[in-house]
Amino acid sequence: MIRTAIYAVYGVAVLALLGAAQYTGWSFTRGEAARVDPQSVRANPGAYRSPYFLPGRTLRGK
Amino acid sequence: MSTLDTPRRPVVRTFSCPSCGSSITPIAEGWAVTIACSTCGAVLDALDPNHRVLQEHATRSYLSPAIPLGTRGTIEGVAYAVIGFQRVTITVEGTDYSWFEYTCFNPYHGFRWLSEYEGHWNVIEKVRTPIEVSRLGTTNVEHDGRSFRHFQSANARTTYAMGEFPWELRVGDPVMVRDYVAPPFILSSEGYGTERTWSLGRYTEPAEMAAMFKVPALNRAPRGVFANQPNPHTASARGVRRVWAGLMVALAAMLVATWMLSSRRTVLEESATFTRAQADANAVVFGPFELDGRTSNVRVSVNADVDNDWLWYGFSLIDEATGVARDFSAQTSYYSGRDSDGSWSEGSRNDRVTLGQVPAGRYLLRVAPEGDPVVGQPTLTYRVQVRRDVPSLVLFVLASFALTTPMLFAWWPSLGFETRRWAESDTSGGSSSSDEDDDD
Repeated sequence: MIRTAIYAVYGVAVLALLGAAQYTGWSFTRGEAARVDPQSVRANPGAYRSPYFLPGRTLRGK
Repeated sequence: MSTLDTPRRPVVRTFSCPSCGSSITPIAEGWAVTIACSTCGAVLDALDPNHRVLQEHATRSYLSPAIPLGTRGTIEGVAYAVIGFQRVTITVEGTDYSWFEYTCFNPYHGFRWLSEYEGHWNVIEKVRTPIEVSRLGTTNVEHDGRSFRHFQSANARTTYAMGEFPWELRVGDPVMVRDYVAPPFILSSEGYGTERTWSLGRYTEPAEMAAMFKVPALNRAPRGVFANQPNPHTASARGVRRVWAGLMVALAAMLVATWMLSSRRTVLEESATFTRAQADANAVVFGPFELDGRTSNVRVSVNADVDNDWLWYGFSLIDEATGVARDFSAQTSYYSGRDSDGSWSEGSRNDRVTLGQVPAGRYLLRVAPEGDPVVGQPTLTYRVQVRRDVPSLVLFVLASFALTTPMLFAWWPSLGFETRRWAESDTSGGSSSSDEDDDD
């Protein structure tokens, strides 16, 4: 009975956590945060370098 | 006052064993059919005035019963005396397995039996109502509202006997024994020729047996799992399984509710062209667009007509008011062809990223695509879609794992107990769902 009660409490906690995560839009991906000047990026999109930028010829792809 | 202590007790009469001369004092005279001399093992006719010998020196060794003959005990509130003791043996794949049976007697309530195997005890009574079995040994049987599952069938023989017995006992005579179980009960059929008798046993804990017969030595830990031993883990496992079922229903309800309540609205849908010749000049900015409502997620999906080609995207979601940029990436990569095994394909023309906890505000989306600088079509068109407040199925999958894993751990001991029980059975596949047997 104790095991069942503990499991029930645990299960409700999991569902509550899930509900909170869904409500706040939680995701494993939040993105690398940086501070930029939106006007500047808008005026010159190619000038902004994200953390994912690889200088020179890319090695991405297959 | 127990019935054995009443003045109407039968007159005690002692006689000498016609085989060895030992003194024998029957307890159930008038009810017993055969008497096995505890000294020489000869089986005597209890109904014959001269107690003629039916079987000479049937047993040559001496076994000491755990409950001595003549011991009085209380079964379900009725006093019984132990009058007979026998060892019953079956041979399975060349190995002998023996258990012990005790015959108990009360002049007003008749006979009861006790059986003991490796410290596991059963209190047994004869079944008076007829039991129908369509195919003996292979099917379940119903009795008294319970379904008994076939456990084992074997030829059994008495290999040792002492005391009084209410049937024509012969040491060595074989009987076909079939056991059916519904823990804590065991229903046994004994067949000899055309005669078949049924008995119902109830598993009794050693401590209870010791208290019933006031023999402390009976209270020893049994070995292994017996056929009708109640599963001690069933209640706990069943409780956890029921809670689990309730939680899974709640999880499904949450999934439906989340799907219905989430807006899933599209806030941006744009397309652009990647030009291979100008590798570093393909970045574009989409927007501004509005993300309203509470802090929620944002899903960015991208699709491109790549064919044996790839396109990588560096995204930045930029809050116009604060200047905070969230950088993330996606990739579309699709290859196909044909080889000796036939056609094949790998990758996908679609990709998506879900950004968590994005506050409301006006946003820009900067996309910087990269592709192979040489190989591929000169230009590629790709489409970008941004949606707000999208339910995350991944979280539901993770929650179902988080709920199911402890349930499986709680179920495991019960499943292991049933596996050990049915490992002793000659019924194949016996372990499935049999831990529900003692629901009653």
